[in-house]
Parts: sequence; C-alpha cells; structure tokens
Amino acid sequence: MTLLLVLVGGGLGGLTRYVVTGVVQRRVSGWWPAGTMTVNLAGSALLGFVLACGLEDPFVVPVTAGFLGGLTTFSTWMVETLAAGQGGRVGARRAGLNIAVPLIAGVLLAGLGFGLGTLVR
Amino acid sequence: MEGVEALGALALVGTFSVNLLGALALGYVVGRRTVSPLPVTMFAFVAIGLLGSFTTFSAFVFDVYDLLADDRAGLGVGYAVASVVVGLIVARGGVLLGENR
Repeated sequence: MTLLLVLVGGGLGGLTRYVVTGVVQRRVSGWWPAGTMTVNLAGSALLGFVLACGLEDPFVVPVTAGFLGGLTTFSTWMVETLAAGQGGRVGARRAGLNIAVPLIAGVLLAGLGFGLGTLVR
Repeated sequence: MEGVEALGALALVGTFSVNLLGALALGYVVGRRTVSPLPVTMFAFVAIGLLGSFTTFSAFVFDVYDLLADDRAGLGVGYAVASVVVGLIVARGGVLLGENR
C-alpha cells in the first residue's frame, strides 16, 4: 500500500514539476534555470514543514519520498548548471551562482519549513 | 540512539547514491541526444519523468540542514560540497559518454 502511494505521489510530484517549471521558465528569459530552482526551493520548504508538523503514518513516506522527491530534482540541477557553465569566465560565474543560490536558499528554507512545522504540531 | 544515527547515515548514503547515479544517467541522455535525435516524448519520459523524479533536491538540502542544526557542521558542509562537486563531475562524464557513443 505504501509502495502504491509512493508511486502515485512521485508521479504527481513529477507532473507538478513539469508544469511549474514550464510556467516559470516561459516568464524568465536568459540563462537562469529559474523553473528548476522554483520547484526545488518550494519542495525543500515543504519537506521541512511536513517532517516537523506531525503528519500521520501512512502518508509521511508517500508525501516526502514520493511527492516531494518527485517534485524536486538533483540531476536536472546538475545538468542545467553544466549548460549554464558553458563559455569561459562568464559561464563559470553563472554556474557558481546556479549552485550557490539554490543550495544556500534550500538549506535555509528547509530549516524555515521545519521551524514552521514545529509551531503547528 | 546509535541505531537511529546509523539509520540516518544510511539514508544519507542512499540519497547521495541516487542523486549521483541520476546525474550520470541524465548527463548521458542529454549528451546522447546531441548526436542521435531522440523522440521528444521519449526524452520527456526518461529525462524529466524518470531521472528527474529519481533524484531529489529536497532530501539533500534537508539532510544538510539537519546536520548543521545538529552541530555537525563539518559533515554537513562536506556532504553538500561532495554532492555538488561529484554531481557535476559525473554529469559531465555522462554527457561525454553519451556524445561519444
């Protein structure tokens, strides 16, 4: 049962990522992969919140490992950073930004979500 | 307590492994596509659906936050840096493998 729920959660998460990334990316022109950053940061805050808020048992794993695991992505982040890093010194600076900003913001938002989750528990 | 910590370390290794494996595989698919065109729907299924969902950013940054909050800053920073550095290297390796197939 948990496996089935994880499958459904992961599918919904991946679908949400596809839709949100498309919507955001259409509004942001240029090199910055803002769509991936949007889903990754939202998912990080939500994961912190869900882990702290005391969600009951059959839903924790499907929501965290399933939906939020499917919503957020590490592989796309890496490959988009490689693409942003093309082209000498400018590329290297862009790649550095695309690593540092989501990483630092993600850790902070995971902590913020966790703090908020503790409040509502 | 030791059991809980061992479980935490195991989860860390698991997240690290799927993220690096997924970065390598996605790099391969993206590199391969530059030399032999892949149907758009197939690319969407494998690259966005399968490999995008396989890896996780949220569990990665939450684990980093957890280590920092737990006063294990060295391990947290080391885990973050190792994931990103090795992730970029294996993704690049995947692209090269895909391009030269």
